[in-house]
Amino acid sequence: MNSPASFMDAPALFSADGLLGIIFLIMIAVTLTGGFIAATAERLVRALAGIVICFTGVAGFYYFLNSPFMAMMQILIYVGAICITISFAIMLAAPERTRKTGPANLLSGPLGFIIAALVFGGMCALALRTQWEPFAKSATGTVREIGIELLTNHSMVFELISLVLLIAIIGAIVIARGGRTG
Amino acid sequence: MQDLMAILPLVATGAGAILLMLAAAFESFRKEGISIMGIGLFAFAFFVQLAVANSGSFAPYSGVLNGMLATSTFTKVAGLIILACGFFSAIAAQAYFTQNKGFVLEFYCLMLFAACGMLLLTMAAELITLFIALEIMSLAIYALVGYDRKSVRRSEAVLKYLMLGAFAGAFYIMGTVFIYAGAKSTSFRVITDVIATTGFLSNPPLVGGAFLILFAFLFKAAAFPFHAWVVDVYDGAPLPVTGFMATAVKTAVFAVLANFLMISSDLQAAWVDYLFYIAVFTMFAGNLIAIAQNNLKRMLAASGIVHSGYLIIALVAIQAKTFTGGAMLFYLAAYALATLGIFAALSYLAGEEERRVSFDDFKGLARVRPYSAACISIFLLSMAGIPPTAGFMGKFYIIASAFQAGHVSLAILGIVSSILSMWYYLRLIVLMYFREPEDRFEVAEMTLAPLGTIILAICVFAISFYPVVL
Amino acid sequence: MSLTLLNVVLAVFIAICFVGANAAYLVWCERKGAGFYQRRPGPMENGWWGLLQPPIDGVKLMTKQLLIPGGVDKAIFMVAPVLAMFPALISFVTIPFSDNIVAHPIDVGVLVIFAFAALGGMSLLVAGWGSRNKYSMISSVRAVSQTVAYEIPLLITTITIVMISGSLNLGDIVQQQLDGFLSWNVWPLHKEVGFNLLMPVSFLILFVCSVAETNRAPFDLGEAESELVAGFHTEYSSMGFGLFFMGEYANIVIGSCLITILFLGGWSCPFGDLGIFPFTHNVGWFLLKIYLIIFVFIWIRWTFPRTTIYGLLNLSWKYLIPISLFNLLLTAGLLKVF
Repeated sequence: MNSPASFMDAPALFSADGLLGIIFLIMIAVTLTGGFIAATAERLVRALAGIVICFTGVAGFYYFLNSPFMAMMQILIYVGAICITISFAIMLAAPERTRKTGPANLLSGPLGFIIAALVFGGMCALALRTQWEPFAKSATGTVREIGIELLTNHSMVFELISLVLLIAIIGAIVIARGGRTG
Repeated sequence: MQDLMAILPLVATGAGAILLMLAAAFESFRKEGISIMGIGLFAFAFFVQLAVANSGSFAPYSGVLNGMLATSTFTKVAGLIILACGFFSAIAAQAYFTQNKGFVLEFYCLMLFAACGMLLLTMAAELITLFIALEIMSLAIYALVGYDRKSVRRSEAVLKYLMLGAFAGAFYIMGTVFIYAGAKSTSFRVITDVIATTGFLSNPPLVGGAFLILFAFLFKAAAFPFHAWVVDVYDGAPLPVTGFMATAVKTAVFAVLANFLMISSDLQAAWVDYLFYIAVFTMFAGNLIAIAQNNLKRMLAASGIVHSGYLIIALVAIQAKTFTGGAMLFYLAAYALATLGIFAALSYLAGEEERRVSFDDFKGLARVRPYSAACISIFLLSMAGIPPTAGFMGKFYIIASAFQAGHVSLAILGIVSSILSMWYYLRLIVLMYFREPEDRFEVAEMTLAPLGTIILAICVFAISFYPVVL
Repeated sequence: MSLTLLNVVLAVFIAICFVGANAAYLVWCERKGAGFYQRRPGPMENGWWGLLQPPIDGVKLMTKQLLIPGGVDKAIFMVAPVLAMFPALISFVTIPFSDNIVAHPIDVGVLVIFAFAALGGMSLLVAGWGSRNKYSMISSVRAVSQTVAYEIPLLITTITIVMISGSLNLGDIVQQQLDGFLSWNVWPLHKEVGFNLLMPVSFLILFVCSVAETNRAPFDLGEAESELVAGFHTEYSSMGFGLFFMGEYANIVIGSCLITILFLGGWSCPFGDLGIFPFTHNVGWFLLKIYLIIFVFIWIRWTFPRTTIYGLLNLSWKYLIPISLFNLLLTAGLLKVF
């Protein structure tokens, strides 16, 4: 095991690496803030706004990781399509009422916290114990390569996803329509 | 070409589902037509699977379609069980909907889609394919559970299932990411090689990933710490769907669990100790819940947890080197037969709008409807593990395999749990036979469901004589 | 890296200036145009032909009180105008004004524009919801369902062009249309796809969709004054309103840029590169084309009456989407054949 990186090893703040690091930290902050808002907000719409922030942060990660295509798809699909659909659901369904839920019981309160802390600790331990090796860069992440990869190596999955979408549509229609009986 | 042969059952179910979906759009196909078509398509898919299974031209675990799917005798038999479950659930559904309102034309279509997802799940040899298969199955099942949104109980059930299922799915994805980080691939074969070279426990991302993935599967299998949703969800779902979930989903999930653990014997060895405790706790938690139930559906749900416990014993006992999955498949088949039988019987006995569901409702059934009562008794005895039923042989194989693998205490605990479970199985039999009937048990005229029940009852005896190579 | 960063900052700054100036004087054009179509002079008092009207309006907006009504969802209410303006600015970063005038030529430029347009859709929703006013609410639901509906044919049409060009880079798409105006994608004579008669149709689809995406008349159901006061920006005053206003014009400019790049050959000279100054491929042609398109936008606004919401949604789901899907298939087939 090599020794953990100390602050001395860190790149200077205004070098290229330093700025990249700052951008990376900002993205982490954006993602976490969004997640936090989404998890704690009492109003559904604010939670939705939190999700939007979170997704945007994730898109930032993709961009940072040299995959602008994924980044843009993340925004286009998750923010532009999914979040807007969710907001439709909220507007159609929920009268804006902030109703407090009952007091947390033993399971959802302290015990839940302990389990969450354990999982978090486990992840941290895992991250620190592993000697992370960089992946051999196999592709440049261009749209063409992604397309070829999807239609050759992963063609099966690619086709199956359409089945997932089909079922989701049928399921949604069946549940939403209701009452059309044979 | 061989690839296409291997996925032929998948194509048959998927195409059948789409066919049903299209048929539902036409005015000329109404409830009866769609029902018969659904049953027929399940039967067709079953025979396709049977033909593929008998063709026997594959090496074990031969990769299909760039190694994304793998077929073996194990997956083929699991597929057969799943399609048979679908067939009998469809028969039960046909009976159920002659007496219950709220039939939607897409019901059988969703069932076929779910079966398609399950077949994929058993065959998946790559983590992403596996996830998509899981989603195909789960989405269809969510819709099947909650399609009647006017019913509060259905909504409650689907909400619980959906939320927890999404949570488990998130854990699965997280685990996939870790495994990808550890093995640089999502394909089972590559993971096997990586574990063989680097070892399992010395590779933390793999350990973390396998932990999270097991977490997700144990949720779907309703094992001990994640069993709480089962009772409410099974209770809230329509009867045939409950039967389908309890049997087909369980078969698929255990097949995939076994496939996953079989990636490497190191991987399995690392989790055996934990699975041991999970098996024990699952059996006893299930028994305790089942004893307390007055509702038949809830009792069957809880007994489903107990059976998950037995299946986990089988997982503990399997050996990666000599794995055939025989004991497990036999148990799954036996359990599926009995459970489907009960649900098929309940589908027509429960009457309009699931009127009769509690233990007391079935008092004296034997006086009014002796054949039905006899069939139900056979199923219950099979579940309890009384010889010469299939349930007994299933339990016997599993406990024998546990002995062989050296888990004597587990085997003994399994027997104890089996004895405990007699309590709630025999309770219903006693009620049916030794009480005066208060109900006339009139139900709508139908032929398919009682016939299916009788076939299942015969099968319970028939397959107990079928030998299994451990 | 830092150079790129500087580039981007500079580009955003220039984009802000460009958008600001455009918004201000497009309003002037709009009012003059309105006047022209209605046989009246429009603003005439400030400066020659009212040319000083836009800056004066800007000062007015900026000095007005920023009113936040009680009962609004404050955080969301404040964020919405920013969200309306900011995606438009980012989109400008990838738009090639000419061969070398482009801030940051991203390989997936087309996607950047659509992704951030989607964020813009979010702002309408958030504004309407945050205002806690039933008119705003109805307006934002309308505006968003409209955005969602028209984004689909827009994307499909764009995919058709992307398939022909084989690139998501806006610059590359223009590069293939440089041989005079017959090589523009709008004509059904493209060398890659042979004789695809549907190309002009898909140009029209793209045009209609951009009008709808920017919530302009006749598709301005979101701010139908007669029924919804002022729609989603009813509750906004001062620069909050100003930002929505600028966002709208920025989006118009982006829409026309997109149309120009995808179908009208971007900065290319319609007669091919003749080598004498105005007839070379240069930024002037690009600006000329986008302002022509903007003129058509204004023209349409003051000529056609507003549609109904049903008519609007029907148009997209029942006509535009099937036609554009058909064109997608046809183009794919022709690409295979030729």
